[in-house]
Amino acid sequence: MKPTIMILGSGHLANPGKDRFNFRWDDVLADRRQREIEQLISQLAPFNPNKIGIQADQRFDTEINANYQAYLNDAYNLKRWEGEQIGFRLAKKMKHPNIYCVDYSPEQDPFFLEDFDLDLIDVDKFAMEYDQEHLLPKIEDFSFLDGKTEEEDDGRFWIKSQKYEPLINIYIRYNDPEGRRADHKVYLRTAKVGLDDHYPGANWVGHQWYTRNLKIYVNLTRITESDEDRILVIIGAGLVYLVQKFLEESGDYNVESPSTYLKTNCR
Amino acid sequence: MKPTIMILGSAHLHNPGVDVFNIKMDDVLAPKRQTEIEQLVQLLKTFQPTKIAVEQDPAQTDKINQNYQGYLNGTYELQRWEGDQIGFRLAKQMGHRKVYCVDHFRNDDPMINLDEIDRDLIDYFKFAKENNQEDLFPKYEEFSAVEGKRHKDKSGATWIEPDAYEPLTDMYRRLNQPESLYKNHRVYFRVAQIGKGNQYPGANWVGHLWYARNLKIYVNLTRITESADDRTLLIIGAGHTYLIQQFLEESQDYNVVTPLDYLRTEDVD
Repeated sequence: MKPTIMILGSGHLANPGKDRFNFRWDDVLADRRQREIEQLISQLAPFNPNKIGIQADQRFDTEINANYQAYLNDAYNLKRWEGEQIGFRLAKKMKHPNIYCVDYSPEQDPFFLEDFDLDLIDVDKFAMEYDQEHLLPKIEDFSFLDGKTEEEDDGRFWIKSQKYEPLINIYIRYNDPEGRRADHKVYLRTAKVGLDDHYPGANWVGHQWYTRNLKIYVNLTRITESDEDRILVIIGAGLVYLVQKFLEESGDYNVESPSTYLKTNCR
Repeated sequence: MKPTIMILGSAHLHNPGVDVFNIKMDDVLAPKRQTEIEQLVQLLKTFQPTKIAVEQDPAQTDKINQNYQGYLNGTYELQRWEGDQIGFRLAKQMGHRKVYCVDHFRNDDPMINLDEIDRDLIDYFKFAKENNQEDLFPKYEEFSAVEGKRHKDKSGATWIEPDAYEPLTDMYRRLNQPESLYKNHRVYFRVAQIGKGNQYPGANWVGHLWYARNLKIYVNLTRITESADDRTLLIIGAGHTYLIQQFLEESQDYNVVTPLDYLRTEDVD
């Protein structure tokens, strides 16, 4: 018997805009979205998790668990982000005493301190200078992002749904295993940005993206205590493919897919 | 149509002792081994490679190709290393004008300058010893089936003197079995776990050194690819095969074939 992990690929419900391509959520605190989140929770509950990991750095663990305790005591209003909306809610429903922070942000990596030369990983700048823009990520590379695209002055893109889409449908799309596998190719293309001694693409993909995902995997092994563990992890949909792959390749986990739990509701 | 790549996972025939576990190779310049290498080259020739890539950093391209030119002109004697023994031989038989260097191996990599960084950040070996995590170390039994006497050298590397003589084609068939390649790869996920708190020496090593290096080897392979007709043979330490193959497949830009299809001894008279 092996411990079981299921990774829920999520959107960032609070619209932090930290990615190159960002899906713009309408207000998830609105009644209709709240009901849909409750529906998502009731579909995830049969997985019967005994631990829930959320996309927050471990250095925020104390603060986040203080909020979670307050929430258990009905003294805290859930914020918009998915760690609280989905994580806190489901953890409370499952009567978990605490919640786990499993992210690792590259900013805390001791290899990339303040004096780090950002040109070494600046894929965009290099691609522009050397006519390699065709290698850069495009919105079409991310099949889970569906809607109208707007570019902001800072180069970020926001994708807005053309019509109202039930949250459960969005999560079903985010968690389609075939889609995530096909989408992963964008990283192998971006890795090619570079020339001669310059490898900005591979530096970014290898040292930042893969290594961050690997450390999330390591964080999951650290919170694993027994073969009976059933851990649900809630992270950005882009992170699912690699973390899941690492778990599978380790040979030490049963990995389940949320796609078997999520069903559109035909009320 | 996509370009084709075949990766021959190899042992290091010249015994450099660069791995944690090193299976001692007897002298491949001995006549019996030389005959076996010729047989192996004949088998690989049916792949009809248009390019041969070896495990050397691109910075070594000139030096390696000087040697290769010397070999073509009969003024260079092949060294024991598999790049010479298999790569040069096959490249010459295929009429190639050069060989390609696709490894990424340099101490002065600006991302991870091994001459300058705090070695403790990647020294998972030391960390595991000091923190009672030796159970996460690679174990020989996990990734090789070769029986033999073992000893450690001064650098801490383990050497295995095989009990039995194994013909080279058998050895290459064993090294390139999918189960064997996976077992090799799986070990990294345990090593990655070495660390605690905000210390990740295992994951730093696996991510910043191992994955990043293999990703750059993949990138170097894409850089030497010129057309969909390319048939590239990469000869590299068998530990690399799993990841490079995975990157090539995930890119969806290559047709990746296994050398097992070409290593059938019954085809040899």
